Formats: sequence, C-alpha cells, structure tokens
Amino acid sequence: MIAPFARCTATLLLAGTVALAGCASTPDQPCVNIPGLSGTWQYQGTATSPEPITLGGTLVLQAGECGTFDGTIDLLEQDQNGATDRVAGPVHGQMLDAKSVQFDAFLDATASQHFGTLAGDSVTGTWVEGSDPGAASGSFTMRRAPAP
Amino acid sequence: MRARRSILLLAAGVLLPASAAAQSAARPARIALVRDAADTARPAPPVATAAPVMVRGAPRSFQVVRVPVPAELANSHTVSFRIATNGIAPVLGARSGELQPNAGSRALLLTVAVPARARAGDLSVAAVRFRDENGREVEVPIMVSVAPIQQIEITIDETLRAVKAGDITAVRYRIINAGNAVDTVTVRAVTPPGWEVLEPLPGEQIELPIHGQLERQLRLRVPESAATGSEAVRLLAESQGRVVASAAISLQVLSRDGTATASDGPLLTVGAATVTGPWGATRAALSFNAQGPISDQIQLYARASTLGHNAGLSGYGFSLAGIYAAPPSLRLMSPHWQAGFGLTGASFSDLSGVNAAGTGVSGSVQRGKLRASVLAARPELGGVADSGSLFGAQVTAPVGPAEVTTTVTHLVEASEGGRQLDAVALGARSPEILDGVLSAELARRGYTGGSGFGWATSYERRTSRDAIRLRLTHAPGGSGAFARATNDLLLSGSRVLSQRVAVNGSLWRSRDDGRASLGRLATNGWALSSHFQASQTTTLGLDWRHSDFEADAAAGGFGTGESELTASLRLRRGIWYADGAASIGQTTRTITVPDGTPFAASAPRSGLRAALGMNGLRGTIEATARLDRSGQSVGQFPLQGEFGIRGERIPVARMAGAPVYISAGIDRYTWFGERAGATALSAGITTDLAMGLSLSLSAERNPFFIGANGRRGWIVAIKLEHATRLPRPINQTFHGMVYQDRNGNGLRDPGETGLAGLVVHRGPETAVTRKDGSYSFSGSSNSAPMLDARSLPAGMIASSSGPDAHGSIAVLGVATVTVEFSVAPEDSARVPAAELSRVIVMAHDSLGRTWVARADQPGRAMFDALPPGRYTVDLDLADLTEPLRMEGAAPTFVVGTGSVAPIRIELHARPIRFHTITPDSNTDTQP
Repeated sequence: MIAPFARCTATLLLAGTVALAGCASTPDQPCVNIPGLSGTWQYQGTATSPEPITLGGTLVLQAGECGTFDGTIDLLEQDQNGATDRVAGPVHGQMLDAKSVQFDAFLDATASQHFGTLAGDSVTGTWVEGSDPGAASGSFTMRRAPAP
Repeated sequence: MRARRSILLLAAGVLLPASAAAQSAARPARIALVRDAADTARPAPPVATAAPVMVRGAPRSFQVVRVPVPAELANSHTVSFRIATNGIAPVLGARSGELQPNAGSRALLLTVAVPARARAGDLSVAAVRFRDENGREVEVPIMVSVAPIQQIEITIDETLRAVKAGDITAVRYRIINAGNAVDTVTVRAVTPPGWEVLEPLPGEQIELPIHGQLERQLRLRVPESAATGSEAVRLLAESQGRVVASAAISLQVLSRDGTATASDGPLLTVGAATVTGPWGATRAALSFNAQGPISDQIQLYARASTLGHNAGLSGYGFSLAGIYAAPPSLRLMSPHWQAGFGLTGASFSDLSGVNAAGTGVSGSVQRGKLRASVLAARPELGGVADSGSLFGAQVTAPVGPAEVTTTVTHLVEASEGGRQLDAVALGARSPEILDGVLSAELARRGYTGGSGFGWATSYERRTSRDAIRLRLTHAPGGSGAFARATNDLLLSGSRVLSQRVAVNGSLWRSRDDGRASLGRLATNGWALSSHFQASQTTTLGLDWRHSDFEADAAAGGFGTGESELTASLRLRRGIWYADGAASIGQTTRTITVPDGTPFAASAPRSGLRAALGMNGLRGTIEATARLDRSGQSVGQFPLQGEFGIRGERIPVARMAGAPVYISAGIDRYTWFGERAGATALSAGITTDLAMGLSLSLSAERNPFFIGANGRRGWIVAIKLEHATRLPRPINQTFHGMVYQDRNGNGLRDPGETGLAGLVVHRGPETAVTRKDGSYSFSGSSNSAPMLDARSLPAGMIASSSGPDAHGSIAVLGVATVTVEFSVAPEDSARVPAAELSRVIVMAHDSLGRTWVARADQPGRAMFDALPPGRYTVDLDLADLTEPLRMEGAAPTFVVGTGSVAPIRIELHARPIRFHTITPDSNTDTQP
C-alpha cells in the first residue's frame, strides 16, 4: 500500500511543482499617483443574493508601491436565520485612478472582488464573489475610522 | 487380431492420461486405470491427447459443448467415441457411439450441466476418447470455465433494539459469502444524522472465503439530543463500490433515564456560556433549546438565547459555543401539518419568491395530495427592524396525474436596498413525461420600478445510472424581487459509464438586472468532470471548467474569467486517507472606470492541494497543504501557501466514566516575502459531567481578527450545558411485565426473571421493559399490549398465548440445532473420517436466508441460535477429495418452542461401475 501511495503522491506533487514553476507572469500596469488609503476603515455591507446577509467590521490597509495596497479585513456576517460567522483574511488591491478602487478580500477559498469609488473619506461600491450559479454579490461602504 | 483389454473405470470414467490428469489437477475426484494381468504383459497402444475444449458457464446452467474429431483422426472412415465423466458435472446424452463420415468436419455435441455449487475457475468435467477403425485413440478433455457468482448476505441477529440517548450500543451481525468465489467487501452503516458509528471502521476490507461467514459488531453512539422514537440503521456491504447486500435494524430510542417512551417529552437543553476576547470585558449569555415529542404525533423544535444583536465582536465568541443572536423561534411538526412562530421563513417558487424570512408565523397543511402553506412575517435582518411585510399563500391540488399550484405573495423589505415583489403565479407539475418530472410556472410579477410576466420551466430525470436537470427561468425584477436572477439557464447531467467510471457536466448562464447595488450581473460557465475508481482504495479525477462574470455598477464595470484544469487523486486505506490535486488555469480581469478607461490583466495560475489524515475511533487527525501561484493584478498574490494540521474529537482521558475529547488546529499562512506570514491557532475540549451536565471549552487565535480597538488575541468560550427530558402530559398508567417462561407453563413461577430492553406496543404507544422486565404505558389506549418480537434476542420467541389480564407476557427460549453426518457403512472404508471436517453445513430458511453452521468436530456441526422458523439443511461437499452425496430429499426442521432433535444425515460415496471394453466391438459388459 505504501509504495503506490507514495508513488502517486510524489507524481502529483512533481507535476504540480513543474506547473507552478512555469506559470509566473507579471503584466505591466500603469503607475498612478494616488491619495493614501493607509489606515483603518469601518466596513458595512449587504448581500441580496443568493440570500440576504449583513456584513460589518474593520479594514486595515497599508499602501504599497504604484497604487497597490495590502491589508486585513475582519467582518461579522449574519444571515437571515440569525447565524453569525466571523470572516477575516488578507486584502490585496490597487487604485486604478484617483477615485476608482479595486481590491480582493480573501475571506474563503474564493476571493470577494470589490470595486468602488473613493470620495473623501469613504469608498462606496459593489462586490461579487465567484462566478458559479448563485454567485454572491452585494454592496459595501467603507468609512475611514477617526484617529484614536 | 488385437488383444482384448479389460479396463476398470472408477467413477464411471475412462482413463485420462497423465497429461490430461495434470490439466485437471484442480478437480476433486480421481480417475484411475487398472488393467488385467494379460494386458499388462503387452505395451498399451499410445493414446494421444488433444487440446482441451473449454466452455464458459454459470452454476446451474446447461452448456452445449461441441467437440470436434481430432485432426489425427479426421481422415479416418469410422470414428467411435466414449465419454468419461469424473462425477463433478453430469453430462447429458449418449456416453458412447460412432460418428459417420460426412463432407464437413465431424464433431460431437454433448451437454454439460454445471453444478449449482461449482466454484469459480476452470473445472475438468469429462474426457471424450475418439477411436478410429485402426485402433488409434485420441482423448479430448472437456473443461468448464465456471463464471464467478457474487452472493453476499448480511444478517443482523436482531431486528429491533432499545437504546438510550447518549449510550453506546453494540449489535452483532454476520456476513456470509454464499457465492462461488472468494470475495472482499467493506461494510458501512447508514445512521440518522448526528449518530456516531464506532464500528465498522470506514473502509475496512473484509475477505470472505467461499461459504465463509464472519461475525462482526456494529457499535453506535446515540446522540444525547436524539428524540425518543424509532430510528432505522442500515448496514451496507459494498464490493467494488457497489452495494451487494444490506440489512436493517430498528432502534427504539429511550430517554436518558430509560423509562417508558410514551411519557417522554422534548429534550430541554439549557446552556450558559461566557466568552472573553480582545474586546475587553467578559460577557455571558444563556441559550435554550427544546426538541422532541409533545404528543404521539407532534414534534417540537424551539430555541432562544439572551444574546442580543448588540453583542458585536463577542457574538463570534458565542458562536464558538453554539449560541447565536437570533430571534427566538418555535416550530411544531406533525405528519400532516407544520407551524412556525418567531423567526421563520418560506421559499414559494422562483417566480413567486424565494428566501423570504422574518419574524412572524408560517404554516403548512397536507391532506393527501392537497397541500397549502402560508407566511405572515415582518422582515428582520441583522437585528434591524424593518417596516416591510412578508405575506404569501400557496395551494397545490391534484388535477388528474398532474399537480397544479397557485401562489399569491406580497413581499416587501422596506430597508435600503431591500427587495420587493407582488406576484400571482400558476404552476403545474407532471411526473410522467419522458420518465422525468416536468414543471412549468407562469406569474405576473410586480417589483420596484416595474412589472411583467415571468415564466419558468424545469425538467428533471434521475435513474440509477444517469441524471439530467434543466432549468429555465425568466423573472422580471430579478434578485431585487425575490428571484434568483432575471434570466437563468442551468443544464446539468451525469452518467455512470461503468462500475468504475462516472462523468458529469454542467452549463449555466445567468443575468440579473434586479440587484440594488449592481446595474447588471451576468455569469456564464461550464464544467466537465470525470471520476475513475482505479481500485477500492484509489480514485482519480479530472475536472475542466470555465466561468466568468461581468458586473456593471455606478463605479464602473468589472469582471473576471477563469479557466482551470484539475487532476486529483484520492486514496483510502482503512482509516487512512490521502487527497491530492494539481491544477493549472488562466485568469483574466477587466475593469472599466467611469471615464471609460479600460484596465485588463491576464495571467496563468496554478495550484497544489494535499491532505493526509486518519478518521477512526481515536478521532480525526489531518495535515493539509495548499500552494497557489498567480500573476499580478488578477486577484491573487503572486505566491501564497497554507499549511495546517488539526485534530478533532480525540479521546485523551476519562473523567467520571465519561471520555474527555480534545480538538486542536494550527494553520500557517505565508506569502513568501510579499507580506508577513500569519499563524492561526485553535483548541477545544469537551466532556460529559455528572447529573446530565456537559462542559465545552473553545479557544481561537486568528491573526486576521481585528478588535474594535485594534487589539488581537485569544477568544475563549466556555459553555456548561444541561439536558433534561421533559415529560409529556400523562392521562393514565398501565403496568405490565415480560418474563422468561422457563418451563413453558404460561405462568410466572418463582425464579423466572424479567427480561430487560424488550419493546412492547399498545396502540400508538411504545414502551421498553426496565431491568426487572416491567413496562408501563401512560396513554389512554384500550388495546392489548403486544411484545415486539423483533426486539427479542436470537433464540427466544414470545408465547403464543399473549399477555394475561395483568399485562404479563411470557417469552420462551429455543434450543440450538445439531447436525450429525456420517458416511454409510458400506463406504466408510473408502472415505477417511477426517474428510468429514471439510463438509460445510448450511440451512436455508423460508425467507431464503442462508445460515452456516459452526463445525464442531468431524461429522458434527451446530447452529448455535437459529431464530424460529422452518429450515432446509444443505451440505456443501465441494471441498471433499472423495465425492460424497446425500441421498433422498434434504432434511428439514422447525425451530419453535422446545428443543430440536439432532439432524442425522448419511452420506454415500459415488457407485463404482466396472466396464469391460472390447476394442473391436466398442461394447461394454458389466460384471
């Protein structure tokens, strides 16, 4: 049992490693001069499909190079049956121009793709998670948290 | 003139030369030649042996065999033949004769009856010796390739068992290979949700010799929350992924205190939890759950908690303890109606509204094929009161073979971004079109900003080998009006190509214009996948899929397309398992900002997944790894990995007789320098305490959690829970007794003890006897109590006299059955006594089940505890080297009250026939 087991696993790992090694690609992106997104943001969101949920929590961002930013998102999610879940994970995104913000929140195996507009100290937009039948989607608003 | 030869043929056969004998080494019977003294003085003419003639056949079948005249004799004018059998398989037709010359090739046709007990494999059954006018002889062996017949039987000695909530119960079962080949099976148990199967272990391979039987044990842990009543557990024996045998047992669930079930009410569970975390103050909450019968027909499900919607981040800590900030809810269910109060909801149809939920009432009632349901509630989401309203009613009535459904709904969520729908719908469902179910619905839909007609149709067919589903929907207003989407197409199908290969595919296309935050969302995609079961332990998979979405919103448009090819491998061996998958794909993103400037990026991606673990009596332990690589600007980090190890429900100690279980996990996330790595930790411990209390502790440290004040740290939840079985309303009590009537006089004499754990019915009520054999009923039925014979141990039956005036029921034991078999005196010299140890004794009952006796000593076998019934004895003599047979009809016996006299069988050797062959005349004379 051990021999075929190990052989199959090794073959699979080797194939995957080869695939990983050959798949790196970094397309060029225009570098934009952006206002700073660094800081703490309060996040509120809803979804209407496939079923209503509410989302609320915190987003902490740090600006990177060329309009990109990284961070962490921590949300409480509640469905219409009252079940509560806390979803949290890394965030990775970029400013496309002076107002348009795009980022992904990795709350699960599938990223939630956010796209919004920056106006002052708030970002308003929409999010879509996945593209399978019944893909979840909704709206969100981020407001910059006051400095402590 | 040739010398006359005398040939002694044993077992009605002729000589098989050494080469032929070697080919038929597997046969149990012997064929030998003895020549007289005169004959031995001269060398015997050589007998050539041709290649054997092989024919395939199943047991109990007749096979016509064509035996061509060997090439060596093809030109001979006259060819005679003689058929010799070895007693294994009867050969029908003339045993000897002559084949006349003709223009074509000459051949002998004979019919072989393949024995019912023939074992799989090649079997030498006869030989045909051809002889021409010149005395040349050629022998052709006849072989039957016996096809394997799979016949696995699984039997549970009991058909009804009483168990208590929270207990571990063990039930013995036997698995028998009644086929003609060695077989290997796995056994798994199908239980009600929440029940834990301790034995059989998942994936354990059981090898069964021919006519072999094994006794095994089914061990189950009944959950504390199990409602009293009858539950079914099925045992499935599987071979090559296919169910080959099954058996079932009914389990009568008692309350924890083991009292009669008729008075058991709902199980009330009260929990008290406290949580601490980075938010600062320690918080506490109570939870209440009730589940179980409040009458013979009505089940209650209710829950409530003191946790408010303002719990904030501590709400997640309470969720670790299973406490949620949900409005209280209560549901009553009976076979013909349901009612819900408090937090409730309904999904009527794609056109008349799905996922409508709020605080209010809902209900449904069914009378035959007539059904009706209603909803009246106020929307509530996330603890925020909504001034809208949810009203709906649906009636379904039979019209000929079809069903017609009418629905009226008024669904309004008044909060910002809420949904709205006013619909009147008429639908029909026919179960008899193209072997599937065809449904259609038409509706007038009114929604925010418009109205229109919607239509929907679906077709669904499912067989054991394939399944197909098609759904087409047009619902104006889309998800903003309680639909899944505005336009929706879904086509999916699957097919089992063989026992090892299955394929499935799906195609979807959806467009939604009704989402408040999106102008339009369109999703498209397809997926193809196949699974190949290479062996019982190994499954290979290949998946190919593409999906994309495009969204338009006030901020602009954005979309993503993804294609992916994944190869996977799944290994199972006993309690161990390993999963692996490798994938490659391409991701494309497009974004258009409000001024029209497009942004696009595309990059390949690849990934690896692996998991190695065990899942057994000692809990679950699993190690996982995940590695993903992607390009920039397509929604992924360039390289990210996740590695984890976890253990769940691992028993580590016992406290006051109850096991203590721990769970723990650690996950490491890394981005290989792109950003700082992170480690998540979790741990838990659960155990039962005295007096019906249970304790659980859960702790979690998630590096992505951000406290309201930016602090991170451990979240710890401790919960103490107590479960109490509430009584049902009691009208009157009836007491009785079940005892073992050892002398069969129908009266309970001193020393005749009561029998515990037996099930007694009275009208709609059910009770189980206590340790002293007593039972009681609390209902008002006037029916006589009846002992459920299925709950009796093997070897016991209820007295036919029934209960007396005091409710006393007598149970009688039955005896074991002994079968003794011996060789007839005239044959005893030829058959050594040790040969009898190879005899397998079986009995077939009136239901067709096979019971295999335990070999006690050569010549004796015992059935230890046969249930009552009529049996026919059957002997498997295939393992004997000397053929024996049972003359006359197979003995039968009846197991009932009293003992069964030993069954005695005399076995006889096959008769010896003496043949004298005259080479010139080819005639036989028998002395």
